[in-house]
Amino acid sequence: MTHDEIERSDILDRYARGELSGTERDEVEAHYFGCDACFERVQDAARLKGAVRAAVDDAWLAGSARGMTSPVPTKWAFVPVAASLLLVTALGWLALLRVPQLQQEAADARTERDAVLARARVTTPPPPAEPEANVPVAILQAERSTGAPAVLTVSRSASHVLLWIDAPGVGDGARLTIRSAVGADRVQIPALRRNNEGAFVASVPSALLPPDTYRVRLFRSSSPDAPLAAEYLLRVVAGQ
Amino acid sequence: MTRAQLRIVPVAAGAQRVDLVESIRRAEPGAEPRLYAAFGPRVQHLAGRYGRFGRVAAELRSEVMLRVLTTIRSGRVSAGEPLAGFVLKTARDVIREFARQLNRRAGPVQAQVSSVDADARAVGALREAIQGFGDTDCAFLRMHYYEDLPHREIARRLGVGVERVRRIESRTLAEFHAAYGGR
Repeated sequence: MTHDEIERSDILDRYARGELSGTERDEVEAHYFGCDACFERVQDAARLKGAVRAAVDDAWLAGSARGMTSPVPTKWAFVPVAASLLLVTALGWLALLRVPQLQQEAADARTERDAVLARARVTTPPPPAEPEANVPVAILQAERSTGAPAVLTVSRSASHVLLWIDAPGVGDGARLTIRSAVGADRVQIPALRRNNEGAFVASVPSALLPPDTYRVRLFRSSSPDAPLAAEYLLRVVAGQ
Repeated sequence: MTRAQLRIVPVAAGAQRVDLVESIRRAEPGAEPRLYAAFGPRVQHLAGRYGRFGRVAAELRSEVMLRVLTTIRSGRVSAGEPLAGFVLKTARDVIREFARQLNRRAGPVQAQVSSVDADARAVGALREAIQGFGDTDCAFLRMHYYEDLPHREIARRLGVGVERVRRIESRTLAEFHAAYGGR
């Protein structure tokens, strides 16, 4: 489906109304995922639809815009005053409540984006430019899950640490999180696969693991609601 | 208000986005935010069409973008593969997974026209744009966006041709777009 075909037809309108067949719908979505103009149009239509529905429900959009400014019979003279009061109230609500909310939502969106980018950097770190000797390795074993923490000594020169995790019974696609003592996830690593020894191995930038005690948690899949498969204690200490 | 025309820009899925894949692979500064800016809103819009994910909507978008980024960075997206198609496929997969988790419809996700929430900015833009609309324009808005009538039926009720209805739609959308963008 080409851009010209979409421009000449009413297919975006039918898409917005949910009238397309599965194949047509897939083609429209494939197109607007790559076409800024068509995506803009799809978004505008969705926004305008929401606004029109609110306007009709709130009775300020009838069949005619002139109804908003038409002469008003005397017995209804209070209506413009009431409408003005409502408008002032709405503007006050916008200024005092909604605008700060929107600003907060925008800030949250930026935070979310940064978090995703940070996670992406952690999950797929670029290969080190130079070979590195004495990489710290922690071996986390199932029998330690209830015992003393594994201790990992990290020297200042180490750029990464390796975690070798034995987790019998946990299949490919597992997700790893590393949680600090204060309860915040510092690292998330999805889509882990077992190596030839049957273990999961992950590399983590040492900067993300300053000296502290961490809970390393292994989930059965990468989905957010996956059940917890194993939990290990890891104590990171500073070395030379 | 000046009457605006919808801006038609070239399809961006070609060379620019191939470069973006290469830029991300080379870890160039700003490449990943560009990818997020280009596709984050599309993923969000798509998710909105396929269901109400409520509080997990942001998590869904994050998961899609995270998978896309990690796949590109690991070199599993070839430079010749259309990036838009890859993001769309990933988004559909994640939406399906989230829908299953939310105990929604099993099997293939079906499109649905979910009820549309108005945001305050859009309502304000409509209030502004409507000042320049005539009776026919307002009647069109109501019939099209509230009563969900197709172009042909609107044309019949207004006593005009379908082409005229399409021109009204383009013009009202353009006016709304200009008002929305100016807020």
